[in-house]
Amino acid sequence: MEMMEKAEYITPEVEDMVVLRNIVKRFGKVVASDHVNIEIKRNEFFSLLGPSGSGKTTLLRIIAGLEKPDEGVVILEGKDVTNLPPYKRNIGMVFQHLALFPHMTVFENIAYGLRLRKFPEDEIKRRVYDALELVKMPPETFAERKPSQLSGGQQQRVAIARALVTQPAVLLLDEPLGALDLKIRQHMMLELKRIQRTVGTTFVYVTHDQGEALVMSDRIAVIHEGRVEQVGSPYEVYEKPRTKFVANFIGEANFFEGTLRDGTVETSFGAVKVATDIPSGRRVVVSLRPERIRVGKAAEGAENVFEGKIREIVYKGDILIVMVALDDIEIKVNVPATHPEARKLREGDIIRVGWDSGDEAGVFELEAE
Amino acid sequence: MSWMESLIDFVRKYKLLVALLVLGPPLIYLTVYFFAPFLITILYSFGFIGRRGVVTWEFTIKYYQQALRWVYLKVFYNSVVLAAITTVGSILMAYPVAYFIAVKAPKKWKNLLVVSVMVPYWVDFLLRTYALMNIFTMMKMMFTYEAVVIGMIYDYLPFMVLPLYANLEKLDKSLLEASYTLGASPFKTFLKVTLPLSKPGIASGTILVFVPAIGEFIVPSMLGGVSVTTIGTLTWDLFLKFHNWWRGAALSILYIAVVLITLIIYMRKVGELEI
Repeated sequence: MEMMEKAEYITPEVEDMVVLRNIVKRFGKVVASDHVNIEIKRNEFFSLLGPSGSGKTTLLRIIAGLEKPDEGVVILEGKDVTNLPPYKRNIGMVFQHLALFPHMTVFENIAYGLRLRKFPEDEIKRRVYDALELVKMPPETFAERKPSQLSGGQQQRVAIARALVTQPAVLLLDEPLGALDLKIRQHMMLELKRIQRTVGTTFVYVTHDQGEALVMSDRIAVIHEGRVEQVGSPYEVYEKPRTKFVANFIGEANFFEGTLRDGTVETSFGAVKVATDIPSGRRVVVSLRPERIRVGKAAEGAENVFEGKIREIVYKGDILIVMVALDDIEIKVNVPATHPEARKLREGDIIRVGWDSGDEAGVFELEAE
Repeated sequence: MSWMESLIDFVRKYKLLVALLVLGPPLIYLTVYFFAPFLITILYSFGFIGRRGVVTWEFTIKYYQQALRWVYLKVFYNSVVLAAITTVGSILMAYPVAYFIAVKAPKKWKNLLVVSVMVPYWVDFLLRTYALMNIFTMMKMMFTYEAVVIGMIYDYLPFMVLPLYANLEKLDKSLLEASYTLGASPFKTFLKVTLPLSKPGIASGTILVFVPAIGEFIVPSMLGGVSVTTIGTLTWDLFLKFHNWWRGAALSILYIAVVLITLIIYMRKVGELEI
């Protein structure tokens, strides 16, 4: 397709498409970006993931040039663009509420950026049609419609086509799936990934939904209170969270506190063996994913084995969520429906739970919080 | 059964009667004070009523023939031109003000700024016009066409500012940002996004200014004196100076017809523009 072949605007020697260096942004007393450093590579699907108010959208708007950082440098394709307005940056953006021009047809919306760049009219038509094909909107049917005559998912596709048609170096997406209902949302996630693979453009995707980020991203930056908590692949941020916040925000985790002594943590329900290089004597918190905990016979022989009473069982089809009381804390265990003992579990039963050291998602020093 | 329930029951049973009770007073009011004078004006224009209000039952169109004389048509033309200048002038003056308040001003200042645009208009219309007379006398501009134009724009400005403000206030700022990210400068964004989307605001402002401005007679007569004759001052003169109620009535009816037709054509055009 046209979009893949034409890439003359890319300077091949630049590997980092977007670099944020020491970005600080304040809104009054609120620090929205606190010395942020991020490098986003060519052709990458990069997500900025964080709860609402974490400052992830501010970072996206700083890349776009819609906000000016108080400190720091923004580098696009190797050029310092910190002081350039958005219309002089080689970017495309898909807005949270799409921001399609209501007074223009689908065709005019997509042609907007091309007309500004003074392309000849036949070239514009060809590119608009290509862009519509890319997002699977038959031009014959949709080109002359107004945005108000489209469904949410279709508007979504037009917004993506409009932002991509000028062949930007980076496509910035600000929670574009937020307004869609679940089914279309799941479908659009895969569509976005497909489009990104097809055009090869660098995507920077802002979301508060860890599911979206895990499914689509090559790498994820977890943002919390204006700071980058961790940058890594979906596997890394899920399996090897570097802070308690990341462990808690991405996926689910059981947490228990204790003092570390020679590779074991003294918790309220007993000594737990852990794999960590934190020095002895520190107060730590251990995070443990519910699917890592084994129950019943499967727990036998594990390094850490405890017995607890089943407080609650929730049936979810593919798994059972079992809440087990260990002394004063309650842990969540995901038992696969295929587990041989799954159907015998009853609330009130005493059950054995176990896991090995190394199964924990992370061991974090409390002082470091 | 409580009185409330019986009242609801009554309303359900006698829907027509209730409708008449509710609609009756305004209907009577409109008939007596609105339609009747209008009807009397029509009767005058066709000569059905003679001197001292005596009904003559003589149908004639001669007053319309008189009202369509070349001099009167020129006055018609002058009035429409003056109203058009007033409208364009007030758009040019009102747009930046409305735009600034709606788009640029901080949220907490908006209401205060809108009110401050309105404050001068709380002074009585005649008083303000007298105040303008003072200024124009000092500037040696009294009884000129320019004085009338300035006075007209001044008097009609809020009717342009308010609908424009209401329209621009609703403008989605992310549309402007989308335009920037697609490569449009703020100026191009204004031309291609803001301006087209504010057309409905310009349209309703135009109706609120243009229509009354055609018939305006106080500003032209006070600031323009004999140098500016509009359809308003002419009707006023016919009724009160020359006591020719018949020709005055015919002229008024023609004026209403012109305004109505203009308005219908304009609304059609605006309807096409609507998004």
